[in-house]
Amino acid sequence: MNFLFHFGRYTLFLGKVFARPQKRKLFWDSTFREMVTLGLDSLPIVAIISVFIGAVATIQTASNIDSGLIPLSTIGFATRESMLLEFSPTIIALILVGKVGSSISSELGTMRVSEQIDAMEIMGLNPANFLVLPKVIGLMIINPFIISLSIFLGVVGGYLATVSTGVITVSEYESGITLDFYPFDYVYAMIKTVVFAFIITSVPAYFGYFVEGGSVKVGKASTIAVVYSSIVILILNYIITQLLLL
Amino acid sequence: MIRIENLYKVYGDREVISDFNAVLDKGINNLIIGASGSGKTTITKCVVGLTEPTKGRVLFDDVDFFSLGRKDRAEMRQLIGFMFQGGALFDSMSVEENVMFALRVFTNRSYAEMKKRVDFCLDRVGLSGVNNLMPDELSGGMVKRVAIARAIVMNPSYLFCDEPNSGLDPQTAILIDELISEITHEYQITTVIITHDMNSVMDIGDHVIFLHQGQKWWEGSKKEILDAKNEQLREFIYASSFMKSLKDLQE
Ligand SMILES: Nc1ncnc2c1ncn2[C@@H]1O[C@H](COP(=O)(O)OP(=O)(O)O)[C@@H](O)[C@H]1O
Ligand SMILES: [Mg+2]
Repeated sequence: MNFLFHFGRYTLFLGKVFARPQKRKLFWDSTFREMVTLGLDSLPIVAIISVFIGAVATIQTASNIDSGLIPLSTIGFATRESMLLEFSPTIIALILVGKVGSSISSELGTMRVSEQIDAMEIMGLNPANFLVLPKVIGLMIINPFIISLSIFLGVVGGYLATVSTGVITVSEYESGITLDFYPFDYVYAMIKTVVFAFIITSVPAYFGYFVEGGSVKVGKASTIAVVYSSIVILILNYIITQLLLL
Repeated sequence: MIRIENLYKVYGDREVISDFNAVLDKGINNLIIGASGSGKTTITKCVVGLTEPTKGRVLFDDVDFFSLGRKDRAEMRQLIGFMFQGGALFDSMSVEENVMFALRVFTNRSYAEMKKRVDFCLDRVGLSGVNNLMPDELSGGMVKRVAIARAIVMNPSYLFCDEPNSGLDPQTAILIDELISEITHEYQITTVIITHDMNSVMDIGDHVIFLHQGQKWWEGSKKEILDAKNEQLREFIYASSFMKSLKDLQE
């Protein structure tokens, strides 16, 4: 019941969001601004996490491969594949839900309870379209760059780990990260990235947009938004993976 | 002129507005007064379609607002200025950007032209040189002034002010009331002012509607209000000790 209610209202909300902007120039201006803010906002945390996870994944794989039967190039290969297929597109998406999603939700929630959204509506503007579409499109454009960077930095992190610990040689690591590379894996990762960007922005925007009450409710909406967006991302991750990789 | 016919609004099983009728003329201050919770805000929000009324008709100069499609409604709304109880200024935008907002979104004027209009409106509400301040840097009275400037920037035919002087000191409150009144007469706007302040009523109440529990209980001018026989209205008027002592003096 609750789920159906939200699903129905979310669908109608998307209808309002994906209307034609009042002025094309204003739309692209704010989309560009959102790209810069969302991108710059998330870059530092994404960079730090990616380097460390890449390094740790590499050391973990290395520490499990000591039998001599498995080629050492597997280490670099494992780092690349886990960053590319799952860590960067999915786990970073979950982190962005907490960072970008919750701030979108509280921004819109605050605008709702202080009647700023009503003020736009009364002027004859479509606030859902004006406020939300630039965020959705902005993150869908910028997220593939963020995630590609994350994959790259993860692999760099692995490289730094091998160099500093000396578990394998640099050339063994390098042969691993170039081993058996299927471009489709990258396409798969980017498809997830774009879909998740849509969820990270539109679901929290929905919960913020329909806040009723005061500032306490804004905080609650933001929490609920993070939970729902994360679950939706996990489910979609499974569905997309089954459809594309099986 | 705005004509409201048989307006009802039901929340759950509570009838918040019951059979409200009114004709609000242009060029005068139409006041809707009543205690907190009597339904003043709900009526204005229904009239401009921010909340859908349960029943009823609203005519803006013979245009039936609720029979309009989405696009026509949006166009109609560009003729409406609305000043919210809390100001509802866009808090990520400066004073200038707030006032300029509708011009940027709906017109194709150059920045210089828009700036000229914004400066004119800010000057008209007694605020000059504050273009670059942010809303959280403004005093209560300044917020109200910016809200008025933003509401009149598109030259509206209709202006709604929800408790324009609430939360202000008495002196500033009177200035804001008089500012709205002047603008109304000067530009012949159909103005609707919501208030529970008897000072405003006695100051600018050209046409006063008294609302009690979602119903219209009395209607008249400020000259007639002190002699009104309606009991609920008298209770409302003489709730303040100042008005009471005025009545005693009179009698
Ligand atoms: N969205 C809503 N849902 C339920 N009840 C509401 C809603 N908005 C207002 N009300 C109720 O309607 C009544 C009138 O409210 P309102 O129009 O805000 O009064 P006023 O502006 O005169 O103080 C109040 O009793 C209030 O509780
Ligand atoms: Mg009110």
